Amino acid sequence: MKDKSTVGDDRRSFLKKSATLAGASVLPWLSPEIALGADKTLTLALPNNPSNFDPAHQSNHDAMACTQVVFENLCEIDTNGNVQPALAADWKVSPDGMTYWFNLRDDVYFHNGQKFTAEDVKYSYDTVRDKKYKIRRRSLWAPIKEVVIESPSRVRFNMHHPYSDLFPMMSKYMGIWPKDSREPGQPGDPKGANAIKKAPVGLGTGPGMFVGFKSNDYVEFKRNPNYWRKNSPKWDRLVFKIVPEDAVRVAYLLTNQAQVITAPPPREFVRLKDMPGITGGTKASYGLMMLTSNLAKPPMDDINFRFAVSKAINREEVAELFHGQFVPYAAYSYGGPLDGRPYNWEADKLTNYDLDMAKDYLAKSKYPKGANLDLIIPAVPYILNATDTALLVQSQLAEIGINVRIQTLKMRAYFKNAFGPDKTNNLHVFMNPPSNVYGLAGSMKSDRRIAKAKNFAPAYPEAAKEYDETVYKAWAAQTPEEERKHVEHLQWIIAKHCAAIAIGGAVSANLWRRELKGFDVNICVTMRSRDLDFA
Amino acid sequence: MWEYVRRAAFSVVALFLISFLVFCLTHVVPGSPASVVLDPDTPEEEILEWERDHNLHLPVITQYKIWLVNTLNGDLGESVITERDLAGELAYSIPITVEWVGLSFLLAVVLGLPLGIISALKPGSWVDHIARVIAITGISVPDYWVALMLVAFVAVGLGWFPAGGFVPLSSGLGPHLSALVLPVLTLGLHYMAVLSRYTRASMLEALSQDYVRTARAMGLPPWQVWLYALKNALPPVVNVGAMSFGFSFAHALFIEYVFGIAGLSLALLNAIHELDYPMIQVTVLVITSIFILANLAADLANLALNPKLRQSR
Repeated sequence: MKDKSTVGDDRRSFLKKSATLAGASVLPWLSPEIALGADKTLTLALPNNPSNFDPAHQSNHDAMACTQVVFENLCEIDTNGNVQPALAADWKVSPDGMTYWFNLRDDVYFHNGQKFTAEDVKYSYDTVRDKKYKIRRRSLWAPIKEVVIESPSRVRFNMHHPYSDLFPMMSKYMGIWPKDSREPGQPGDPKGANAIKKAPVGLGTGPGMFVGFKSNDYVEFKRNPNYWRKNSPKWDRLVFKIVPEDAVRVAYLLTNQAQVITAPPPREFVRLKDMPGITGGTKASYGLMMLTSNLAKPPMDDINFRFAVSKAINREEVAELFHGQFVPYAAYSYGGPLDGRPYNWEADKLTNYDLDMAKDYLAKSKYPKGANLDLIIPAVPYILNATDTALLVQSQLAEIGINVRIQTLKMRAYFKNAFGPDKTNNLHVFMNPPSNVYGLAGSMKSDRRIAKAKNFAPAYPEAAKEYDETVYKAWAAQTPEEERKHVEHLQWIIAKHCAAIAIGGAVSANLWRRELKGFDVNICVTMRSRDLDFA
Repeated sequence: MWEYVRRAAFSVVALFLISFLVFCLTHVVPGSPASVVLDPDTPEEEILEWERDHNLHLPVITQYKIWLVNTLNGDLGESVITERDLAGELAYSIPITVEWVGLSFLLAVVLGLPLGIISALKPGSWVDHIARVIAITGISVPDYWVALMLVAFVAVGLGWFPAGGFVPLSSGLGPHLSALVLPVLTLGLHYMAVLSRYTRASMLEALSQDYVRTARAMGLPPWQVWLYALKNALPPVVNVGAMSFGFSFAHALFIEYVFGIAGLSLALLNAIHELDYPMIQVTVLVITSIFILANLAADLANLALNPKLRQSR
């Protein structure tokens, strides 16, 4: 019998209500549509969430894989690293490298139906260089003095100085968006809809039109029916699925939930690529694993100590950690000695593994009995996981009496400590576009913030001056041979002072379903989806 | 009634304290999100300007006051990393987590209670031994490993269910539920083990009471004796259940990561990685609120289940 004097329900009614609630919880609610495995739908699995879709504001290659579906540039770099026409049908460069003329395609339309013209090119390159727009990669475009419209289908770039990195940069850190699209009240207004970053509907010219994005879940695109490359793309719908866990990303591929995965686990790669229905490929990229330091802070303030560190690192052993997805080398080079890329073997010899010489250098240093060496590494792996390498380096340096103290830091704290004024010794991978100069300029050219943190210029002012001059010469090189000479000289300057320690190069790797056609591993790491098709 | 008001007031105070604590902890870490958002070559004055735009130049207390006023006015703000509206992000991720964690808990209750009861009714029997092995295995084996084993054998090996991800209902009820099976099993089996252990212990204690012996001596049928014992065994199980329900949202973090489920816990994990202050703040607040609500619900359930408790109030 129910006790009327009590608060709440009796036991029976409580149990009834509980059962009703439990039943209701089984009822799933409506969510936005995303059907996996539907016809003409391609699914690509990525480990990282894109933080935004602004092509000039990217911080990782997973985000670039998404933005490059929507945005295009005047030229593009194909999966083997060669410059190819895109929104510019052709171009010409003046002999002194100070002027670029681009003839634009006449058959390109933005996703909003607006015709693509020279006005859009000028606006895009003006906004990316204007500090009021606070665009992340602005510094890369500083060599451009002005963009001049010569006709609706022809633009001229006047440069402050020759800049051979212009084309590689266009493939990676930039896109063309419609004129005025970032102005107040327009879709790209950062104070308004901020659509270029959040939902770039109508703003690109690329093969895919943005449909939707759900954080940590997926990014969806649909086929651009008016795409200027006829009969492309072949898919109707493209989904980038965010799958952070390595093993589950592999499971996605094996179960055909995804047709391509990026960043496959290195130790499983060889086995997986020969499994039924699966194939895979690798290409040596332009990514460099490096150990960099503040040359003003002990113990790396001593050149002999730095040589001791560099020569005690057995890079061949490091390569074994990555099961073929790592190319060991010691000269400070983005790209390494592969495919005829500029590589200074003298620099390599000067800094590469030699344990006896490492002991000799240590004995000659200010720290003959060894020292503590603080080393920070990123907590979240990027391109390659630095943790195993750091542990191996720790054991290798212990052999000559150097005690490495590893600290793992989250990205924000890592960036501050690795690139800030109080720079700590750090170990990570930097990914470079297919350029022989870009990474060397970014790492050590004395006006770059990253270089300033190393204190190379205060420690070696003459060498720093020579380095800066050589960077400009490399950018101005008229022939590959001339560029090679300057790039190898830059590597030599770094090696001579052991100003930064190279450990080796990263390899791009992908796994994909055999029935998928048109997939090719991109030398630039960023996964390319435009030309994919089902068998 | 006063008791309810008092408990609700305590809950609100707890929420305030926790939000303040989380706010301070996330802000004392050295560095600035500007270093993630802006280019490494960004001049110092632009970094400072960016920090001013996001109020990061103000003292932490002032920043907290601004955040609190905005939150109380319904403005959760936006992510400093993605610049996306947090209310929209949460509107997507909360239902996903609530659904699959809710189903996991339902599974835990539906399996855990009977298992614990049967185990207690037949102590030392083969049923009890099996139930105990299941419970100990469920508690001691890490969820992360269980999740990967389910992916390897059930998703890849047998092909019965998807390896991960969340499929919305609009893609069909079958695919929707199918995608939930493995994560629900992973979390549900763990809490099933927890609940079955507590139910067994509580039931055994109830069965050893004098009133049970008296009831048996009076010749009551066994099922009726067991029912009386169960009524008295349930309150502590309800308390543990409420705690477990709250904990399961934190526990979900590992499972959402493994299965790539875009829920609240994965959003929190990513926000921690990127030190996205506002996102960390609101997700922790939501999880804390769920924990507090679960405990309030447990109190109410205990009132409903325990007549003595009702009369004493």
